[in-house]
Amino acid sequence: MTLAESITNYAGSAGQEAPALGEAAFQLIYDATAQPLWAYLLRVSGRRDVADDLLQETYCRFLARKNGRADVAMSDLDTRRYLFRIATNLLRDRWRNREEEQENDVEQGPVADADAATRMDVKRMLGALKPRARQLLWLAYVEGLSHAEIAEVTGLSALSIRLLLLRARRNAARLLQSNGRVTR
Amino acid sequence: MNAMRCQYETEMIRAIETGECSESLMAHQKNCAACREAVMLAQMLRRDASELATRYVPPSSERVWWVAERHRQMAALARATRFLRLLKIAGLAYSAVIIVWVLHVLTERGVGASWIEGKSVTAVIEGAGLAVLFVASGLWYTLRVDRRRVG
Repeated sequence: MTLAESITNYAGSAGQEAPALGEAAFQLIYDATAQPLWAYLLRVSGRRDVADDLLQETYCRFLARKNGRADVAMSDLDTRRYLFRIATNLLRDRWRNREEEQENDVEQGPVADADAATRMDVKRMLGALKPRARQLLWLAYVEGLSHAEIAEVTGLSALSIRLLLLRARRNAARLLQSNGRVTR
Repeated sequence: MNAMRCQYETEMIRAIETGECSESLMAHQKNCAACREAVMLAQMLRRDASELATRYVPPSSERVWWVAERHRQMAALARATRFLRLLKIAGLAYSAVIIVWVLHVLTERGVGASWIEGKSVTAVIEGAGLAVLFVASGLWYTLRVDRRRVG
């Protein structure tokens, strides 16, 4: 056995030593959060492949950090927000690396029904907005987070959130209006 | 009331979430353009989110767990081999210094120099032999491991 192999085995066994978060507990968290988290990543990034990658990466980071802080108990809601925070940081890292492309590739083909039409409108509307605006709209209106909670997730100040969210909401409404989808 | 931002907006969004909208909130919504806009957006986005969530089949949690474990092991391995990497770099630097020094000495004093005389010849040969052996074996180990990693 070479030295590198010995070290690999050592690292492997160290990783298996009584993880703080068990697989069963992780499965519960995963089942409850994977779909909403993926929807968030998809609509904010606009790309399915990016959403898939970042979903996996989010849970990898979550497990790495959670296992390193076994003493920190988190409620379901806190865990969900924590996951959204990790995902938001990953999206920001991606934008910083200029890897983001604006191309949305989720729905292709003809629009079949009213729901699909609405979905296309939402998709177009979000695609026309800046990533930060998409993020804020989703966190505020889908996840139902308050300004303070959004500030915690995004790392921005609550005052900035207020202004950015207002601007995002007005832009979104204007875009939907121009698509003839507004019910005002 | 501020036409741009309404203090009841968050309350209104929460009401949509819980499905419990009081009469006063409903009455407010009728008169508040900002809240109507927010509610309309929230409903559209939530419908979209719900539709996406039902259509999406995430990878199994076992797979995600396994990949995370693998990442953790790789990170542990990287931490454990950090010292070896430092030793490798130090070994390469040492080899370079020795080679430069030997070349410098040889060019300055000549290969068949008269400064190696008598008993010192054996000591010099032994020392040079050991140095060459150590440096060569260190380089061989370093380069061999690197080749394996590339392959």
